[in-house]
Parts: sequence; C-alpha cells; structure tokens
Amino acid sequence: MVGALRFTHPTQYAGTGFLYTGCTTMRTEAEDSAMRLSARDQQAIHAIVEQEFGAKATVRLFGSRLHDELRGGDVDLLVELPDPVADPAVVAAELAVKITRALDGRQVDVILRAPNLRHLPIHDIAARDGVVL
Amino acid sequence: MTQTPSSTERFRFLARVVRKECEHLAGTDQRLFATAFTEDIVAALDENPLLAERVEAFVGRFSRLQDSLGDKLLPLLLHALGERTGAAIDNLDRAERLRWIESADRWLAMRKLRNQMVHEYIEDPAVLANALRAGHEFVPSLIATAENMLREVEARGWL
Repeated sequence: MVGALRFTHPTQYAGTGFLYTGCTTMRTEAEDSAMRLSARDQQAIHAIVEQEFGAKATVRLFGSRLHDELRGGDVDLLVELPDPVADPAVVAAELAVKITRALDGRQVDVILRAPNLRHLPIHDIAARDGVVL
Repeated sequence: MTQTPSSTERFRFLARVVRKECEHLAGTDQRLFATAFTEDIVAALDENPLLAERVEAFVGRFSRLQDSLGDKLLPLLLHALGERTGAAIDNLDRAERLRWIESADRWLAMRKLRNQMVHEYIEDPAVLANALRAGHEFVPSLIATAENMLREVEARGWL
C-alpha cells in the first residue's frame, strides 16, 4: 500500500485532491526515506499557512523537494497572499520557523507573494513549477 | 561539573571574542541606523557604496555574534553544565528555558532573516529594508543574550 504521495512531476497530482484523502497514517519508514515530502508534512504545511493567513492564502512547494531523484535539499515554499503584508521579511522568516518545527527541524525557505511586493522572476518559476499543497 | 584547563581556555577565548563582537555590532548598529532606514535608502544602495559597506558590516557582525553565541558558546556552556547537547534547535529551547534567550523561535527567525539582509540578491527593497530594520530591533536582545551567558560562565568561575 502506498501510503503517501510520491510525485515525479507536479502535474501528476496537482489539483487531484489526493492530498487530503486520508493517506497520512499509512506511511512506513521505507516510504519516508524515498519520499521527497510526506503527505503528513504537506498537510502540516497547508494547515499552518491556513491558520496564519486564512483560507485565501495558497502555498506551493517548489525546488528540489519536487524531484524524487534528488537527495536532501531545503523545503522551498511560495506563499501567495491576497492582501498586502506589512513586514514581509519577518513574516516569511517566522513562517519558515513554524514549518521547520512542524517538520522536525527540516530547513524551510519561504518566498512571499503579495500585492504590495515587487514581482520577481522567482515568483513565476515557483508558480510554474510548484505544486499547490 | 569541573572544568578542564582546555575548556577554561575555550571559555576565555570565546568570552573575549563575544565581547568584541558585541562592541563592534553595537557601533555599526548605531552608525547605520542613526537616521530612518527607509525603502528609498535601501533601493539606492548600489549608488551608495559606503552605505552598502556599512550594511554589509552590520549583517556580518550580526551574523558572527549570533553564531558565536548559538553555535559555539551555547553548546559549550550546556555541556559544561552537564546538560545534554544536541541539534541547534534543541539547544536553543534549553537556552530559552534557562532564560538566556528570550525566545528560541525569535532567535531562529532572526537567523532565517539574515538571508534576506543581503542587498545583492534581495531584489525587493521592501523586503530588504524590513529585514534590516528587524535585525536592528533584535540587536539589544542579541547583546543581552551575550551578557546572560557570560554572566553564567563567570558565576561558575569558568573565566
């Protein structure tokens, strides 16, 4: 039984709703080691972002964690906010720490996108390659 | 716990380093933030090499002090007290319980924030200015942590 998502390409599971279909408790150690990011971790990230910024915020995973063949790597997240954010650097850093805690100390990097922030190429890359959690 | 001559030497060395780092950070902090640090000033750093160097000195000194405290003095002190040392995050939680640092989470956020203080690769002046201002606001807390830890070392007779 495959208990957690293994995504070789983002489009394979983007928008399938599979993330939320009760696959959290069936992980095994072997699956964890091969998994870039477990379903439990993905749900934890989603829950923290929703709790901090509300249901209108979205969070995408991008970077090396998307690729099964790569080892290690930070968890790179793009968080898109519908409203302007007053302290973007602090908000991003504090969110990264909260998620690091939830992910047992794993390194997390957060990039914010909000109406008052400059639009940068990294936002497009993350939006294009990332998968919504 | 009795200290060996080498760990006493290590404490003395780190105490000298940390004191100097505190002094240098406080100086740069005062000079850099003497006037309001606005987004416009940050956006013009490329045209103002002297200010850019001062920003870099601030970030470097901030980072070195935080690392000396969190990665060097803290594990040494915990070990000397007979506490179990482990991952940085666990050591910081212990430091919070021992009231040497205000908040482990804030400490970690500041560490994270350092990546957003680098003007060559943070392309949004709003983010850069916010990161630098937050660093500035954290300086008193960083220096207080140094004082707390050095006071502990001194009280134990390890200096």
